[in-house]
Amino acid sequence: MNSKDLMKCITILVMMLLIVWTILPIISLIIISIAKFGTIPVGFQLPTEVTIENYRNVIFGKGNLPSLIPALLNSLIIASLTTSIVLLVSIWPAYAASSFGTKVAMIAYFLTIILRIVPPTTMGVPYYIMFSKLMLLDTYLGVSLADAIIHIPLAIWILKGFFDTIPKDLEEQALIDGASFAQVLIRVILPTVLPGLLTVTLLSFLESYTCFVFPLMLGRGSVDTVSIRIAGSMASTRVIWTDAAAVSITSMIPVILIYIVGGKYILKGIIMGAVKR
Amino acid sequence: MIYKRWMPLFFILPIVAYTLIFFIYPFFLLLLYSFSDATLYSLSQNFIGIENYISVFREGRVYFYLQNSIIYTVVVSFASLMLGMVFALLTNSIKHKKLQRIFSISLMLPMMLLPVAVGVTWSLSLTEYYGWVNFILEAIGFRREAWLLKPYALWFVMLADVWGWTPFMFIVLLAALQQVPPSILDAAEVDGATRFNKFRFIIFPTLKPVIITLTTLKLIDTYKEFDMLWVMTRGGPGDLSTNINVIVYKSLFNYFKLGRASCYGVISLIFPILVLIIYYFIIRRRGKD
Repeated sequence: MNSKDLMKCITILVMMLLIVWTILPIISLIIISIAKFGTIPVGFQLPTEVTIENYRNVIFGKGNLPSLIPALLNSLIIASLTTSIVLLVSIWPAYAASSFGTKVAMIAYFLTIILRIVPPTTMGVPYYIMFSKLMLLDTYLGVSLADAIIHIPLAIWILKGFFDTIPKDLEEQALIDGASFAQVLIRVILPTVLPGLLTVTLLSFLESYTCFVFPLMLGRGSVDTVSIRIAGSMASTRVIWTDAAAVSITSMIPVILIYIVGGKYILKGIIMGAVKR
Repeated sequence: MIYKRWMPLFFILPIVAYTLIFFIYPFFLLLLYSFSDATLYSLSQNFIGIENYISVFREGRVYFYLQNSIIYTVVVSFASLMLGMVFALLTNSIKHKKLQRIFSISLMLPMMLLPVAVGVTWSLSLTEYYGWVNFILEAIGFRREAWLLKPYALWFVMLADVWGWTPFMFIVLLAALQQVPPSILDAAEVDGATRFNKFRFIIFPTLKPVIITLTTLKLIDTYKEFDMLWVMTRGGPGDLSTNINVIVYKSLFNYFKLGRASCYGVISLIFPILVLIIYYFIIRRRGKD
C-alpha cells in the first residue's frame, strides 16, 4: 500500500465519521419518537415496541400535551405576515441601493447592519413596553412586526444583488423611448428580480417559521408557535422524551416541503447572502 | 430635476421609518427604563438614576454573563467555520457527481431541524440514560453523566450549536469552492504543488472574502443566541450557562424587573455597537479607496 492509497483510506474514514456525526443525533431522535412511552431504548438499541402513538398524540393532543395543529397554524400565519412585511419594507431600499449610487447604498447598508446586529431578547424588552401600550401584545401583527426586523437586512442584501443584474441601459432606453416608470417596472425590472423576490420570500418564510424569542416574549399563549410548543415539551422537570422527539420531527415537515419546492432558490439566497456583498 | 433628486429619499423612506419606529425609538425606551425601577406589572417608572447599573456591576455576575456570551460566540463561529470547511473540502474532492450530491444532502440534514429542535436533539443525546453520547462513552470505559447538569453545560450547548450550524457554513463554502477554476488547480498540480500548498496559495485566497463575510455574519448571529440555550439548560445549572441574552429574558419574565432587564439590555448592546463602529470605519475606508 503506497502513501496515496493510505491518504484515500484516511479521507474515506473521515467522511464516514462526518456522516455519522451529522446523522447519528437525528437517528436517535427518530428512534425515540417511535418508541412506546415507558420503553425508551437506551443508546442504540432499537425500541422493543414500535408505535405511531407519539405522533398521534402530537397531532391530536393528549392530556396535558397540547396538539401541534394550532401552533402550526400560528407559525404559518406569523411566517406569512412577517414575510409580507419584510418584502414591503425591503424592496425599496434594495432598489435604491442598487440604482442611486454609493451614498444611498451606504445609508441603506448601515441601517440594515444596525437592525441585524441587536439581540432579539434585548429588543423584546422595549417592544414589550411599546406593544402593551398599543394593545399589540399577544397578536400576530405584534410578533410579525418585531420578527421582521431580523429578516429585513438579509432580504435587502439579497434583493440588491438581484437588482444589480438588471441591465441599466435597457431601463434608461425604455424611459427615453417614452415608457412610463410603471411600464419599465413591469416589463424590465420585474422579470429580472422575480427569482430574487421568490428567494427572499422563501428564505424569510422559512426563518420566521422557526421564530421563538418574540412569540415567547410578546405573546401570552394565543400566538404560540411551533418552536414554543417544542420548547414547552422540554419545560417540565420530567421531560416526556417520546413527545419531545415526535414534536421535533413533525415540525420539520413544512421545512422539508419548502426545501423540496424551492430548495434551489433558498440555497441560492443563502449563498448570495454570504458571498456577494 | 426635483424628481430625480428626491427619488432616492422616497425609496429609502420605508426602511428609515421602520428603523426609527422599531429600532431608534425602542432603543431610547430601553435606555430610559434602565434608569427606572419599573416592574413587569406596573410599567410605570420612578427614576432611580444609575442605581440599576451600580447594583448590576457591584454584584459582578454581569461580567460572567458577558464572558459566557463572548466565549460562546467566538468558539461556535470558528468551530463551525472550520468544520464546515472540512466538510466542503472533502465533499468537493469527491469526483463522482451523484455520490457528491448524496453526501452533501445528508450533511445538510441538520438544517431541516428548527433551532429549538436542535436543542431537543442534543438534550436527548446528552441525557444520562437514553443518550447515545453516554452509550459510546460507557463503551470506551467512561462513566455515565447527565452532561447538561454539569458546571460546564455551556460547552455542550456550543456543541449542539456547532452541529446545527455547520451545514450552513458547508453549503456556502462548497459553493465558493466550486467557483475556484479547476484549470488553475490542475496547473498547480502539474507544477508539483502539494495538497496543502494548493489550499494555502490558491483555494484560501479565492475563498478569503467569503470566509470573512461568513465569519462576520456568524459572529453577529451567534451573539444573539438564545433559543438553544433556553431549551437545553435555561441558563443552568444555577446561572453557570447564562449568557447576556438569557439574563435579559430572566430578569424580565422570571424576576419581573423591567428596570433591571433594560439595564442588562443596554449592557448587551455594548459589543454590537462596538462592532458597528468598527464596521463603519471599514466601510468608510473602503469608500475612500
